[in-house]
Amino acid sequence: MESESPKKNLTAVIVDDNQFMRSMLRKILGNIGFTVLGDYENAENLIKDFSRINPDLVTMDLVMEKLDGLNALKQILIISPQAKVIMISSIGKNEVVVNAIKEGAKDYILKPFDEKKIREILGRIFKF
Amino acid sequence: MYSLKDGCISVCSQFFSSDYDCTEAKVFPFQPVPYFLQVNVGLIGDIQGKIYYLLDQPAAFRLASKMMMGMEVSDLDEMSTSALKELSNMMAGSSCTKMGTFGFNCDISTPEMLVNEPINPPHSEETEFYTIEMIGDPGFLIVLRLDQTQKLENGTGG
Repeated sequence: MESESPKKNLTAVIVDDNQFMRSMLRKILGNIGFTVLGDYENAENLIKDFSRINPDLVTMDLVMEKLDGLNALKQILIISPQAKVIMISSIGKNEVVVNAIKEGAKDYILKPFDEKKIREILGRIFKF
Repeated sequence: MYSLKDGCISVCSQFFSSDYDCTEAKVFPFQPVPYFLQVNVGLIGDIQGKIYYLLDQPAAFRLASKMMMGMEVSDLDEMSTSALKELSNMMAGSSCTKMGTFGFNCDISTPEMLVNEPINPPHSEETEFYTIEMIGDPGFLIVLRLDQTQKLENGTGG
């Protein structure tokens, strides 16, 4: 059975260096019921904004030039230890996934994915 | 080579579901071929080199259209370019993951797209090329460039 949408208004931001992926995630998160506060081509700009916007959810690409997703995750958790960050990547190597979870990611989503997969994972994290 | 092929088949099958069939992918030596567009992704780690995804113009438009849920694509604007880069990123990532199951620690760089540019291999006797023809709708070519002679023929990462 498909999960429901969040009961309260939850906010999200997207970090991905690929425009198509940002657009796809924006659509999926909107369909699930999240309010997308913004999408970021690089993690540096989100880190600058993070304290001000304090989103309920961050979707974080792993492979990006300059600041990669794993280091961005660490920096976000220093700013806000309760932040819920999920990693999204095409790389599914076991040690990479385990390391991301160890560093504090709430989940690791392997590309390609669909709305159902994202909904299931967010339903578990946010209990809807 | 099988990891590379299987990674691409896996992504195409998942992304394009039943209307894409790459199961007849073939492996053969590299020969220069005419193509319109290349998206290349660097390989870093135990396997160093590059994966080139080579598409003719109709294939590029059709794949971008499929990625964008059937939206008509008649030129390579920012969004369709981005969609093709993302597809290449997913195929390369999936291939890398499969290489990992054979003990190779391999990462990828962010994709780069070039139009009407030839593959420009480094001049080295140790550079090797492998080509895979992906047969499907649309078909396309994948060229693997290895910057050092690496033992892919023994059934490990190949």
